[in-house]
Amino acid sequence: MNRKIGLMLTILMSLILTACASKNNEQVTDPEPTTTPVAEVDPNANNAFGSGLSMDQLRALGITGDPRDEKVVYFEYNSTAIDRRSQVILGAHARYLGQNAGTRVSLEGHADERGTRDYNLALGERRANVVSDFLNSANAGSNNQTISYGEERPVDTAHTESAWQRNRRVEVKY
Amino acid sequence: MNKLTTLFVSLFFLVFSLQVDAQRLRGSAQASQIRATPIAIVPFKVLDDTQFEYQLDQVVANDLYATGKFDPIPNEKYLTLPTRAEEVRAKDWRLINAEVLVYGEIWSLGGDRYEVQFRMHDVAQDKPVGQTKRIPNLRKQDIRAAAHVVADEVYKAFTGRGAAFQSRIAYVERQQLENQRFRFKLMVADWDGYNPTEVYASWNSILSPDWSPDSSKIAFVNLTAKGPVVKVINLTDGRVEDIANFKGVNSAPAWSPDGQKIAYSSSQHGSPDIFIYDTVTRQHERISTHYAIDTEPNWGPRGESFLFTSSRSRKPQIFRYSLLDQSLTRMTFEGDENANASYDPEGKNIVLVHDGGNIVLMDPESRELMWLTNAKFDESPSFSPNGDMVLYMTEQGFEPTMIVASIDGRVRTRVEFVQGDVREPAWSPLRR
Repeated sequence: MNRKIGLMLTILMSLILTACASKNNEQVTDPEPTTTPVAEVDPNANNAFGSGLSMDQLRALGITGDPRDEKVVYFEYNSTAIDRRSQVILGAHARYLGQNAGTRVSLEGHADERGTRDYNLALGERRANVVSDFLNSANAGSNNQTISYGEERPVDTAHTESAWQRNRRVEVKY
Repeated sequence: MNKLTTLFVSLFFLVFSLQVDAQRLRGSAQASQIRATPIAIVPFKVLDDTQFEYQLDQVVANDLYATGKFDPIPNEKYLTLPTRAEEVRAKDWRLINAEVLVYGEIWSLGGDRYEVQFRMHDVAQDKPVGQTKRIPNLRKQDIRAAAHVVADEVYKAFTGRGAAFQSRIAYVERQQLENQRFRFKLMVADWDGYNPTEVYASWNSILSPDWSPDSSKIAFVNLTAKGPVVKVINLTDGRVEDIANFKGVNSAPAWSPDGQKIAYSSSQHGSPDIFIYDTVTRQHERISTHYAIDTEPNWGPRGESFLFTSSRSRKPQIFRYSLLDQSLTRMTFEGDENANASYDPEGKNIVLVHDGGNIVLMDPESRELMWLTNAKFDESPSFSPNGDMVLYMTEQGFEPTMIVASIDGRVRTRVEFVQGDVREPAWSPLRR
């Protein structure tokens, strides 16, 4: 019901906005000149922090420094799929853990508030397990402990898509 | 000009879609057909100067209003205030359109002993319904309990349905002690939230309370350092017992109607499956083996089957498993997600959470859905012991709010005495 209204409102608003925007567009004649960034010379350009990616590629995934400094990986709604960003981050952890065999790693799975509490406990565990499996298959050789908090420990309690995004996560702790 | 036309077209569709949804909801309210019965509950005469904390007639009125089957007439409209049969004149009540009349007295017997006597009157036929009823051996603080007895008797007499008002509710209250440090309390209260009592507390989340059929115990989930554990608390002696503390997630306990078994979900074999624990033999039996998430089992009225939530259809949907022939039936097809389904005690209706936040009733035979709510974040529905009301959580102005809705969708009342950061309400069976 609300979704339907939301959709219709979005269509309505976008119609109004395009109506306004097209008026403005007529006055704008030349687009902003694009500046070409100066390329930095870096011996590790295509293998920043051993990730196999360039800094730009990392940045495109929202990773600004060493991927191993990222301790949280995120998921889509009701999903346990590991996305590209998570692969890079978990790959970095796996490489480190591989050199420190037997490290105890705690993987805490979480869900957003949507869905029932019991289902979310199961979903949080699934996410933690998927991360554990990823580390194992990347030969991390770590001693993984998984635990699910379901929707019980959100990092952001707002009822917004961005809050939900931040709450659907696995925290890697060691 | 063209854009204007598009605007009007989309406006038209917006209005149209609103109407369709309104119709869907109204359709659900119409399902009951019968209107609420106007009822007059005369303030009970107290036969000395005792001042009670609550007015008995008001408690009765609140109880009956919540069912959607009665429409209490405000006291100010009453032309007379009879307390005995010889003072009742039918025309006084016909004039204010009352169809049912309840009146009575509260006797003070000295030494904190009271007795309530009351009668019911059918105004249309102008004749009393049943004999004078007595509620003896009351203490002053029992006035609300006595009122619930009166409400139950009126409800049974005029609807032919079972009672509900002497039942209780369990729920979880979260108290913030300091920044990000919480105390979780399992609470028990009267059905209207009065007299809340803490029965168990933990520094970690408590969820999924479920009453034993004799209402002497509550099964629940408590998060621990190891993970979620299913526990049972005995309300008579306060003793707590671990039922399922296996590796992984143990959750969603549900007592069988005969009180001997507890179904729950456990991921001890890797994937969450449904298990049944026998409280007599203390054996755990694995029922489902699918690699999907299977959780939230809830028993059929005769214990011959259970409903559960499963992601084997990719998104969570409701399935029914028969313990008689091991058959599996998918129950829900409408909407992206359906979860947390449970039967009423007679098996006439199923209540569930639809698309993550609507409370919806389902006919177990036709599988037709009837929307009780259309908010975004409603959850944790449970039936009253007579199946005529549903208790659930919603959010009002960002505040968690506990609501009782009549199953005809006509009336929603806030559980008035429950406040604070509460969740996971569960309505008890009748006390035996």
